[in-house]
Amino acid sequence: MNKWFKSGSPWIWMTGGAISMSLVAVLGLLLLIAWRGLTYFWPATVYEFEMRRQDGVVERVIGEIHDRVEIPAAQLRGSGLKVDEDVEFVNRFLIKTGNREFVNLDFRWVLETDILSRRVADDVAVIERTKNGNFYGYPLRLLEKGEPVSGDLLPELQSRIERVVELNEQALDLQKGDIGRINYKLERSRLAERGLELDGTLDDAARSRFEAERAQLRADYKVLENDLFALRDQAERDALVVRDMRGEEVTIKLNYVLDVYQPNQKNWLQKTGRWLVQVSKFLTDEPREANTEGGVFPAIFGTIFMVLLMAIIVTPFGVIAAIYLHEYAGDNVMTRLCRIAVINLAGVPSIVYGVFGLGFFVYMVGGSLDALFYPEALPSPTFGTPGVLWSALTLALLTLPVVIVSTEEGLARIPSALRQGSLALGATKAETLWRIVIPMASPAIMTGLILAIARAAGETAPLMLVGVVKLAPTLPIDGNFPFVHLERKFMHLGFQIYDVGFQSPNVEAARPLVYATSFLLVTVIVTLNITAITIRNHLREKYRSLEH
Amino acid sequence: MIELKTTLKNAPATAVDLQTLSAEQTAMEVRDLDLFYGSKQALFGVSMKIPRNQVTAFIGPSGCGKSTLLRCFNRMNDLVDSCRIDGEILLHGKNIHDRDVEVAALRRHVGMVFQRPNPFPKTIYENVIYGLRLQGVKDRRLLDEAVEQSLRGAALWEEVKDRLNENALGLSGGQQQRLVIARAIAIEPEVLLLDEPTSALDPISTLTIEELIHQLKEKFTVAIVTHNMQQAARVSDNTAFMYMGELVEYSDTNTLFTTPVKKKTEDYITGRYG
Repeated sequence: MNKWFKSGSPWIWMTGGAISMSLVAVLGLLLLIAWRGLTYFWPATVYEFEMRRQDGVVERVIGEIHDRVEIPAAQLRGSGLKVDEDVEFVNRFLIKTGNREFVNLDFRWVLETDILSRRVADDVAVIERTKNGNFYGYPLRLLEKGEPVSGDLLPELQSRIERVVELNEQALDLQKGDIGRINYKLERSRLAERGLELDGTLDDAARSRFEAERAQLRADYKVLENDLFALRDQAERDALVVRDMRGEEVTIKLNYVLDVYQPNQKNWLQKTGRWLVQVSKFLTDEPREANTEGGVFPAIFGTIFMVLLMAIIVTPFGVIAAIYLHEYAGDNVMTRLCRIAVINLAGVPSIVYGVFGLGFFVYMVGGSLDALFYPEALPSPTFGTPGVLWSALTLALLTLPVVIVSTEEGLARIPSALRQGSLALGATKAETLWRIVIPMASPAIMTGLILAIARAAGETAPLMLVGVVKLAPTLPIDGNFPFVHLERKFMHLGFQIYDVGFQSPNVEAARPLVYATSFLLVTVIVTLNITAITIRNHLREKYRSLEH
Repeated sequence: MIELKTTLKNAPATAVDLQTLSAEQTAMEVRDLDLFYGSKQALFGVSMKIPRNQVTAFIGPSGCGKSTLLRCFNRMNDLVDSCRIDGEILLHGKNIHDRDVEVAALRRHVGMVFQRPNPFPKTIYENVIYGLRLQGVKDRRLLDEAVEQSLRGAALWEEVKDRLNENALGLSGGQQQRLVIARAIAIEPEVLLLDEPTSALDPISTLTIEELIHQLKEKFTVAIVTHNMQQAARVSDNTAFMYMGELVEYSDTNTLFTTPVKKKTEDYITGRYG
């Protein structure tokens, strides 16, 4: 035994064990969120249950099995429920029943012992709607302007849904595009007039010119609005009659319907296709119903845009600071203090940065900018309110230490022989830095940037103070001049997780979304990192042979 | 000793009187140079004249100050914070430590090659024109010309002419050192300082570089530090022997190696210490 200890084997086993535990932990985490997030989009089998409620009434329930837990029977007996004497554990199912407008909860817990029968309901259809979530039921017939439509139900239904979806898309494009543009122009015109008024140069001619401009815009608006209403009227033409689980006939207007499908009649290939469609909808759609339905595209866009903006800000800033610290500042008490301060900055809790960002960037800098450049919009703030620019700046401050530290390390690794070689050829110190030192330190700078991105992309708490919102009506980039709107608030995947998970009115519905969004956030961060690592390795390859 | 004498037969007999060198014949002149690293004195009252278009070798045991002296000629010692210099070094009759002398400009006139090859991680072409680019030369034709001329001057052209756009770090050690020499002569300095240029190289590469030094003196004044006495005897016209920060003896190479005046010099070249 003693010999075994001396051989060093236990040491190897211990270190190997530590690394395997870390690997297992990371893989476990990824697999868990990936599995729970991605299965959410799989079209689940819909069952029809017959069950006896505790009060003895038998009712029919249609829905998907969402979750299952085993509960000790003793616990149930303790809470006064009737359970057979010989069972020890009872399964409890979470069933998603949908039909939110007719039942109190679209999720309900059901004890296995209460279920009398369970069968796969072949003809049942899942109706995805823009309002009130999914609807489960048996499609009976189609109505066009209240009159029954003859012909094959399902193909007819599909084609009419396609028509409605098409119309809805047109209406949305009109609303977001042309109508949005006119609103934007109206606001600009109002601000321009107010600006002249503040300058004291608003005369009658200008006033009437603004009036005319706005009258024209309002006329255009009327036309577009009529187009929009016409589109909506057309979309309202059809309706679908469905028999729900209570056995009643319900009429659902097709203009709220996104999709109808019969999950129990699909083979796995069709289900896979459906899964892919659902995943791509999640990635490209906008959120609906308080973020519990629909996609997360604005959040993906906001996250990436903010992180890139942060990288653009933090890189030059950090690199220049590191160059001064390492190349120009002498090695004395002040620089050592500076270095310690920089390193300690990395340890400040991120929420503190958020508070600082709110106080300094938003109120002080933003408020001053408003007073100087946007007085016509006051009292409503332009930059003096949380926005994507302030978020990026706050996170740039947060990640500055890692960039400075790794850049300094990179600078220290450049052999002095190369610097001297350059100096001996008549280069000044600045020229040597630009032509030799900084290019060779670029892999280290990239390493700092990778760490910065990894930290910034996952940061949520400070953002809640300086720019993130639950729902941003517009993206920070759009077709209206000046195209990039840094003052706008934005959505963020990290905040989306918090919001859906904790602020949602419908916790059960939100849980899979939390997993899916988490997995997406991890994917986004990994993608950003892999991109940066690829660039760094490319740079390293270029300067590879200096490590001799 | 015998070996040294045979080596000397090949040395050119261009002996000049180093004490009474005229201004035209002098490339650089050192007057009463003292150098301190902090409180430690490294050079003691060195005075000498470096003759134009000749090879001057500095020999001496490790730590004798020969490299330190060489690094004074293009003010590389400026990089050492604690370094302080008294005395004068004249180039064209002007003290290079005067306030109005720009260091970068001085180094364009006094080039330097270091002990270990230090090519930049760029292409061979970019390495050679580095100094010219610094001077703002953009004309492609001029640059191409300078590359060919410098590489020929450094006896490297034939080996690399087909791969000018490859990374210089792919060259062998000897090639890298010749590339560094090409880089230094591309900006056409007057004086070329070589700080133990062959100590990191194999014998064949050393020989190539030594032959190269013979050619270089036609256009440049060469000052070389070496710890290898045979090398000093082979390549130099004049030799300075330094010991403990002092210039002990300085004369034409033939004289120094055959009939040294000072006892210390004789002891050193006969191998009694060092």
